[in-house]
Amino acid sequence: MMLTDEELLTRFANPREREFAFTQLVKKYQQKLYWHIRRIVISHEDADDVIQNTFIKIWKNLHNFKGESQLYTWFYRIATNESITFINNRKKRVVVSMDDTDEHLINTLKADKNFNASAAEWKLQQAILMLPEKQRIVFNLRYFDEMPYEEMSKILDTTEGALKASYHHAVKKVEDYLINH
Amino acid sequence: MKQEKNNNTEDTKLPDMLRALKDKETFSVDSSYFHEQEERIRTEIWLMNQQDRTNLPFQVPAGYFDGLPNKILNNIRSEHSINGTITKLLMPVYAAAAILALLLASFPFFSEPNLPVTILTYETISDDELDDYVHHIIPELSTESISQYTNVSDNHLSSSLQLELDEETLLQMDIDADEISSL
Repeated sequence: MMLTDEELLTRFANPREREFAFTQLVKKYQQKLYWHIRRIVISHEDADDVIQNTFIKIWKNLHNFKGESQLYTWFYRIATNESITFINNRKKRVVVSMDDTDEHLINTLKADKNFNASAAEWKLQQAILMLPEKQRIVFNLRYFDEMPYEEMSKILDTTEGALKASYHHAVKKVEDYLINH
Repeated sequence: MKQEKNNNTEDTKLPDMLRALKDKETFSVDSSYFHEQEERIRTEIWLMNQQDRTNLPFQVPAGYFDGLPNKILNNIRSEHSINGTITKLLMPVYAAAAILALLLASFPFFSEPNLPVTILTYETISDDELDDYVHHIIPELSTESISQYTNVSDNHLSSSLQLELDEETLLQMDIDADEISSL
């Protein structure tokens, strides 16, 4: 039986059980966080880098977790920030403008051997990649993960109203893209 | 939070002692417990559903998630050991830097030694030095100023000063005869 977050946190506080507790936490949340990261950074190699950085950051800061939010919300927040930082760093290194960023992500998707899409799925992904970064994250969290706005609000530090508006705009843009392409 | 109780008629038939104990709240939980529990269960269910979802068209290499926890843990361990090694290597450098800082901080004490203090005694002080000192602390007053303050005329003042300098007084001051005669 999987241990609860509280039990794992208690065990993590004990140096002798720290690695065991952490491994359990990774096992519990790795897939969720991986797919969230993957949808932002697109390629498997990049997602692999980002998820490792995310969990290393979690390891270093878990003792500071005060339990003011749920553990997975806090994990998502770290994963989102790590992904955005990764994208921004790559922007500085590789590309200059926003259009180039979209293009770069689409090219990454085309080249990714771990991406096997039907024509419709490919079109949907292209439409999503056309969205501004924050809007893309909101769309992914709501559309794919079906995350409640309340949780999203804690992760992205944005009001529920703003998130609903953002998602509404994103859906409209994706719909337009699918109709016109 | 208190557990709600049914007002059962059976209770009235219970012996007093048992009835009294029945009303005691032995167990309790935080007021937010049930709300949090509900949220926790909802999250667990949501997470389980997410785990079962396929994420097509995205894929991962076979066995990727099986190896990920160990890969992360190894990264953490190696980062720890690298940090440990760096700290060990830097230890002598830190020690040398601390000693150097200490030496640099104490440098002014060696390069600017404390100035020797000259203690002036009545045996070593020259007349000029004594004059300077006295004039420094006592403003120079003319005989006119003194007479103005004391309401004593110049002649009286000089005679009174003369009076104080009689031989007997000077003798009491333990001044030798030669010095008295020179006065």
